[in-house]
Amino acid sequence: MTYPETFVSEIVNRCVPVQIDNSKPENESLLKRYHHIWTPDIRILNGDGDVLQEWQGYLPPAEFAARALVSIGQAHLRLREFDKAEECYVETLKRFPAAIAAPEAQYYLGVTRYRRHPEGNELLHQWAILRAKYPVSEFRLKQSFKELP
Amino acid sequence: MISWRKDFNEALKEAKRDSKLVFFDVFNPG
Repeated sequence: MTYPETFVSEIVNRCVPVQIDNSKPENESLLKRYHHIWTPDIRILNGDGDVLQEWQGYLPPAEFAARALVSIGQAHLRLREFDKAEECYVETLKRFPAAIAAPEAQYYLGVTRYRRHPEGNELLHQWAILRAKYPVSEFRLKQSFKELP
Repeated sequence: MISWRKDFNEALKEAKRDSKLVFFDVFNPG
């Protein structure tokens, strides 16, 4: 079980948590609206109900906590709330550096700082750290065009 | 402990009012 862990619930409670049962007929229209197909099905929404980030499937507590932090960070980044996004990525890298979601946090930490201050060098700096810390990851590949001669 | 809200539309209103994100979880009781 993932949710009973205090470090997980503390992260979830930073948002407004709402849970619905996919076996109840009264939830059918909501399930159709979000094209629900599999559980657990987690969406990070804004107050208009727009999906800013999502994932499906079970994760053990530490991986779930890291995934939740990175996903909340992604939602803030899409809303151009750069300081809040950065806080999520930095916290992920500090608390869960070995998590599967950690390379994504490192990648988007660079993107966030670049979007906030395009004239700076933080994108390439954070991506250099990504190459050193997470050499085998999808997000290393996503910056690999910077490694071409 | 997570303070799950049971009403989806009320959760959206709360998020809008408090400038927060919504953590929306669809689960299956089985």
